[in-house]
Amino acid sequence: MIFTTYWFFAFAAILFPLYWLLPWGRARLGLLLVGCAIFHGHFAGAAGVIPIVVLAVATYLAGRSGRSSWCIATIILCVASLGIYKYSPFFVGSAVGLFDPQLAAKCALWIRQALPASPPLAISFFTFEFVHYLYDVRKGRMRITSPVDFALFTIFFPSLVAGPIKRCGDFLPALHRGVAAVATADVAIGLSRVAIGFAKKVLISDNLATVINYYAPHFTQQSLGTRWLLFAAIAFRILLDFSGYSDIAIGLARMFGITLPENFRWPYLASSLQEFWQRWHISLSTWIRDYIYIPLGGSRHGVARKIVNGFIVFALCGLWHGAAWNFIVWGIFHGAGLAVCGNYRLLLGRTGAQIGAFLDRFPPLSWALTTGYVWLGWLLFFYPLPQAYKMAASLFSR
Amino acid sequence: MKLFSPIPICVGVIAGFVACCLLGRASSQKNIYKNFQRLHPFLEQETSYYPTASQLVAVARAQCPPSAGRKLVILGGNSVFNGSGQKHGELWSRALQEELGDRYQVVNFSAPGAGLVDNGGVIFECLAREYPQALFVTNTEPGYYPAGNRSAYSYLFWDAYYKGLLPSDARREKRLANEKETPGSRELKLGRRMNSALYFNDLWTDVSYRYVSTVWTSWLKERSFRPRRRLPDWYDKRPPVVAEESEFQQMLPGHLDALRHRHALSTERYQQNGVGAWVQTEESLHQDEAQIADLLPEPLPHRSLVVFTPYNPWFLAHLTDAERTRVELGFSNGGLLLEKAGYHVLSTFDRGFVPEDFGDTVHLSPAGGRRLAHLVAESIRSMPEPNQVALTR
Repeated sequence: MIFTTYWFFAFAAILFPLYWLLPWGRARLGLLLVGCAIFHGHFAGAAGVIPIVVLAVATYLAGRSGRSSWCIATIILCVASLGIYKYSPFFVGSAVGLFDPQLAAKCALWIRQALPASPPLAISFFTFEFVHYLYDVRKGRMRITSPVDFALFTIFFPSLVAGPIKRCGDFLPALHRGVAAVATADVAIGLSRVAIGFAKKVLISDNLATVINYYAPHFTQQSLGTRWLLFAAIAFRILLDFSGYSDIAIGLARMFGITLPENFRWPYLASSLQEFWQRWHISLSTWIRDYIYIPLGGSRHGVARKIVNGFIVFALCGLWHGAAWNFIVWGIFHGAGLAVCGNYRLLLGRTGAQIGAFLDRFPPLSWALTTGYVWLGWLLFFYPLPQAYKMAASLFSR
Repeated sequence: MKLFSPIPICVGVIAGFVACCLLGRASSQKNIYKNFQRLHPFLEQETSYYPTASQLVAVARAQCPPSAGRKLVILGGNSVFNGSGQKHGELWSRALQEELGDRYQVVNFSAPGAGLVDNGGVIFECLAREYPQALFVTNTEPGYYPAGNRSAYSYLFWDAYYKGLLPSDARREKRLANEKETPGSRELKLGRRMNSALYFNDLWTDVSYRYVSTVWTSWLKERSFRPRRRLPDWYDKRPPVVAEESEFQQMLPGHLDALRHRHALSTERYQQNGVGAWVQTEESLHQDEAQIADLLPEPLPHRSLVVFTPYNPWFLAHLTDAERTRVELGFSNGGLLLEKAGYHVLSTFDRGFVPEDFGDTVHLSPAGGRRLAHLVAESIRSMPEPNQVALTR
């Protein structure tokens, strides 16, 4: 994790005091840009920086032009880059593997040799932010003219690695407010948030990860109580890891005076799947809603289309998390859950209405069903399907 | 409400940070390890615990105050010297202390998997000027001579290096400047460089030892968060070592394979000459010589005893003649190279060790530990008085 490296501590220890001591807003803006470039260069390396610079320049120029065709072409370029760097070994391997597993292995090897050892750092986040920007330019909602603003929107280091996914309509005003003056309150709030994030990530989540990695291979051999404890540990590990990371990102940005959007709002308190996705990785779920679900037609074309759209969106959401089948299955699992949750009252007629009314009367039951469903989903997220199934089944057997 | 306004929070964070640094610095200078016997698994990196160089220096100072007039014997080396399998009371280094008597003070800083100058070697260097009569005794096996910054315990080397505890050595500086860095080594060095100014590792180690540990480890499971001082030596709760043929028989396939992969037997290091006799290759001899030259700065090799600890003869008997020849060759060549570099050498090959002296291929039973202690004590007593050679810092 980048924020827990010594390099990052040293970097932050130099950058923040310099930023706070500079008396001019423009100088702070320049320093922030230099700091972000150093951060990106250090952690991404040349192989990671060059593709992002190419995509950023293309995005900036397409945005400046304001021409719809250029924006669409650049959106295709961004998505294709993401596909090639992150998903090509998986897709080629899976597709060819259906017919010839040996050829699939050869293809995967060839792709791995042709591409860098790992995809450019945070390419998924870059792609989503570029696509959002170009889509909004195309709709006439905004256009960034300043290259410094665009560069900072692109490589603002607190949110670079794991979000929150920024929207430039919110970020740029926050950036300019932040660099205009240093407020002690921002520094204090940011520091507190960073401390909370580190505590969640380092003290709790990392320890839970070690416990889980140690016991998970023998999950089904544990006592029933231990299995349930591990099940809960898996759910809390991902929450605390991810939300801890978001806390650190939001806190660091706040220490610059810049407010980033919230990414988690107590997601395990949700009493329906819809509510869960309004509380979990909010910047991703709203991005998917605005830039995939709604353009696909959303819920505007009848129940069947709404359900299909939901499945497509959540399969893509799963795929965004990683190039592997278990992520796709996890996404489809949530798509199915949402399809049931959002439509059962309508589709089951009177029975559906009765079930809905019953659940409305007993919110703890809705909460328990939602939590159970979400937590079972984490087994699919972390483990191959057969292992996840075994683990889930063992929760209900002696 | 005033307490939660921004200024008190910022001031509190800064004050807290400075206080932590000062506490860390204070804890680096005192001996926190009461009744220290060895770096058993709960006191070393196998359980994510990393005592710092300053803290181990403080242990040696506490156990052998300079004013006490005793000769400090610092033990380094790997799990054999660490007494793997031996309980607290059976520890071979206790037997060594008894053999040597009150004129000497033995402090055991060996650790599993350590190279011959890891841990103990680093602390010996730190104390060499303060204790001009101190001796360093370590163990290894033929062909394994990693420098202190190139092994599993390199964190301790860099900790001492950046804290300025090591004597200056132009040869080492030149070597370090030319060594290729990896992202991992850069990060390790940066962390230790920062620790030399801020002492956060020292503070964490102290807090974990005395109050609460913050890392879950599979060695300790539910006891992971207990202060380490409350945990007994790990080997005390283990079943006793059974040095019996039936036990060795069960170990045979895996352990024999492991033995064959040891440096001493590696076929890459040896070749057959024109008359079919095994000889060590010129290349590996040069490699060994170069590695040995990087171990300790002059004049410290002359105050150091390297022990080639034995292999279990029961397992050796299962090797081929050619393999046994290579083992013997490794022991004799290793000894010659180390002696040439100024080290005192004790080779325990063919020194009367029997299968009952072992718990497995290389680790010693309590009886084997006593035999080793006797041999090492003899060698220490026969070492000439070290000259007081000035070391620069």
